Amino acid sequence: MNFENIEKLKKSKPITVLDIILFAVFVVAIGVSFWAVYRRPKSTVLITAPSYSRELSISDNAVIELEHLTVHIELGKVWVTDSDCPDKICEHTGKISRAGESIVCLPYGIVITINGRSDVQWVIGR
Amino acid sequence: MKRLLNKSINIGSREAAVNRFDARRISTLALLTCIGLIVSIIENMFPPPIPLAPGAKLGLGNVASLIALIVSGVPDAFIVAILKCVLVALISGNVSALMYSVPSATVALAIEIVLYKLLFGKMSVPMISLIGAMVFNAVQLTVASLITRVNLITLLPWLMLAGLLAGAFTGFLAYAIILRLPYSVYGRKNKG
Repeated sequence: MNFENIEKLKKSKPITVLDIILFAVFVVAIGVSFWAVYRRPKSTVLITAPSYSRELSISDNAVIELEHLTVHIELGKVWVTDSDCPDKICEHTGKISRAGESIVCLPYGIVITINGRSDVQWVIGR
Repeated sequence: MKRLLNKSINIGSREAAVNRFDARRISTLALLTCIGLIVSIIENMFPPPIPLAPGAKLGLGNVASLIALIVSGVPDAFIVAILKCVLVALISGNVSALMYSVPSATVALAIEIVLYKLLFGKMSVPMISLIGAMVFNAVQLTVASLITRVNLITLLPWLMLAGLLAGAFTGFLAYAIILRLPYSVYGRKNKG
């Protein structure tokens, strides 16, 4: 048995100064890695109609009144109210918030879609 | 290797006493391996503490290899660590875990040994174990993403966090154990 090592360990401190510095460095590095991996790029909301096109950021809270319907953007979600189309599918779509989702009003040719890079996706297979 | 054997035949000299692979050393290593083995198997039975990363566990078995490193030396630490990995895989029936555990354990132990030899005065045992645990998790994640061909980098922050906490815990455990065990556990002092 290596008794010198054991003696050295019994004399060593459980936490040293280098420990605390390295620990702080690691905590900061882990925080940065969380931010780097999980940040989301800003998505934009694109509204297109036969004679109208507008694009704005999804983080601007806004109410946009178009000719046939009203678009609400609030808290990163987009939905439609007050539409005068017969079947109101646009209203029934509900609230969209992710890149690639869209609300369509076919009778009037109005498309509201969210453009942007989608979030980091991981797949855990089972 | 030959010099080691030659020295071990020379029973009287002091250097031989450290390198001699005698019954005491075998039984100490066997005991450490068994303890690490049992603790690893039991902690594998717990549900995963982090739901996102099913493989991340409190690596309590690394206490055994760390103690083997400090008490018995470098080759013994490797013996305990790798033997433990093999036996855990065989006994718990999860042989495919060998693909993840052997590389991670080897690399982590190698880095711990380097840190221990170079920086022990300035760096304490819990910190060495902490860095070893984070390296262990990182290598495990690398092997997992190579095998499943999925980019698992989003799990990296969580695994690093888990390694930070678990490594500190196991390091303190190893430190406390060696601190408090009486010398008679290691054999009589005057016999080397």
